[in-house]
Amino acid sequence: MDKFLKPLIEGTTLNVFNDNDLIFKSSSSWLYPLFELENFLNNSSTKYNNLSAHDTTGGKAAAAIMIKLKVKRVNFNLVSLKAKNLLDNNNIEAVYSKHIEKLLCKTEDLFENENSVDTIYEKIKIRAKQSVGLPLKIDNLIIGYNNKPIYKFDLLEIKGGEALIIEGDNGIGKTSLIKTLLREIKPIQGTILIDNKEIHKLNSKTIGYIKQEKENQDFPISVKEVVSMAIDKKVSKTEKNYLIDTSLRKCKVINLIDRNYYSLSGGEKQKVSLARCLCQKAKILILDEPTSFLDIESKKQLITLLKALRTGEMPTIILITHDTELKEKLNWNTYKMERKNA
Amino acid sequence: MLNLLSLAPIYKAFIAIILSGISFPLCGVMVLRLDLVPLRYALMHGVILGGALALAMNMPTLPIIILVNLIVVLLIIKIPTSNSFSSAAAMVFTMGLASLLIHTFNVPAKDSLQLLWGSPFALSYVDLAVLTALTLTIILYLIFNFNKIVAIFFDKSIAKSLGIKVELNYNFMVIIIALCVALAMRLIGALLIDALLILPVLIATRLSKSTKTLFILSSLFGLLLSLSGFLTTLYFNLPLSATIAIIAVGIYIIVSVFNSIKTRKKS
Repeated sequence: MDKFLKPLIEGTTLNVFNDNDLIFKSSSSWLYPLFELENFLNNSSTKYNNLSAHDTTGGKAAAAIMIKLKVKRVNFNLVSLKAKNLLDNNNIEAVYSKHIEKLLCKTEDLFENENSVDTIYEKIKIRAKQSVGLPLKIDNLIIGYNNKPIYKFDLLEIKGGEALIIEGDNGIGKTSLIKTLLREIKPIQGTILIDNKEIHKLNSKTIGYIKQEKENQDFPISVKEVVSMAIDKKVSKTEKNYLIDTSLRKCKVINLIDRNYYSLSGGEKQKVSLARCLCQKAKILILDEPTSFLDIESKKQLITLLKALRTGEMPTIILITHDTELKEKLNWNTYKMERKNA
Repeated sequence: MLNLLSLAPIYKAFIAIILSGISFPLCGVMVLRLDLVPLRYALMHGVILGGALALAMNMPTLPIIILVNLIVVLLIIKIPTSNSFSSAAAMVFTMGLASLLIHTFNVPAKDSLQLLWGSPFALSYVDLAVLTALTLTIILYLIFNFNKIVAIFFDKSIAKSLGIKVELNYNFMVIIIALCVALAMRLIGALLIDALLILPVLIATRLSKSTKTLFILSSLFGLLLSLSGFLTTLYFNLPLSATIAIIAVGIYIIVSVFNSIKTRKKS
């Protein structure tokens, strides 16, 4: 008999197997065992390709997380039919001891009409505060240089872990907004609060910044050096190497670690820049026209990586772009800066 | 030849050439990466002005040229125009003023030429002490601030976003460059500063894939050039600065040719 079909280990709420070997167990409640499983899988150097799980209760949120974690077979003590449908639609084999129409909890109500796995997953991570991203609130903000206003924001709020595309015509103030967020220039009026704190009171490494990559330069700087510049000086050498290794692996550029950064393709450079921000443990990422100067293949890879970031750490992301294809493929919320403000 | 090393002017020059061989290329990396080539020219001219001023006033050369260079650097940093424009203006002004001083105060031509070609065998113990202090400062600054320096070299706005005090570090590096150029003038003269400041870096750039390697190789090449130049000078009784410059260019050509053959084979 497959082990995932056997009763749960006493005192546990989730048991996970790979090829019938127990690899993970948890005794937490609600969806936390699944988040713990996600952390375990992300930090494990072993690739598990045949996951099966036994969970106590399965609602739609649990089902979405199981799908994202590529669990192939699952056994629930109690499952909602909505969850079962979602699993069936995504080719996950689900068995159960008992079923009900719908779990009686707020989480289940939240996703009653939602069938996109990605959307359910992102929303539940934010709800469970499992994302590293911090909330941002821009209130009655006027940005500009030398007291000359360029743009006014009435109110703009981004929840922790959410992603927002900002678009607008050339010269409208997008770069000024970036400089204001990076504290290079001070706002003329208004406030920017990150996690309810004024922006100038933040830890300097809270915001990670990725610029558009222009031409190559005749200067040697290794990928390892680019990534490690973001790491705190106080971190031990062992932890530093671990952070560099993990972030480069997550961005799938570990093989480039000893290469000269300026010898890389545009797409590779952007991945290394993302790895730098992961090393920095940035809670907010600002990407400025990241697909400029990228070829089609590099653009595709970057889109895949950005989507993967939304299922991993989930920093809050602000992406500034003119790229219509990028906007369509990411399908994030959009804020349009319009010329009525000057 | 080894007997010569027992003579004070020779062994002082020998110590100075080793220290400068190690430290000047480290400054050279900063000059190239921070795009301070125009500033370097302005400082070279500043050194000539300082030297002319010291000779005209019959004062010790080194402190005056250091002072003039620091003033030039501070003015360039503070004046709100691009560094290139400020450096060009500084170049013209300092040379013009130096020329005026040499003419007005009847500075002997031989003394003026020393400013251009250097006088490595006329170094004082004070000169050596200043050079030692500068070498240690540069090395320690690099060791303890390496990540910050790499971040500033990579991109100033990204460095700022990481909380690095970009302006403070930039100004510090500019001041170090000013001191380096001043000391280089004493050793190898204003005209051939690039032999120890820039050429070892250009050679090392062709062989490096990381900034750390660049700094190390630049310093090693600097040491190789300065030592080989010094020994050749002693053996063949040639001028030091010219010898170092010729050897430096020779090695640069060899490395460039080797690199282009390697690139062609790869493609």
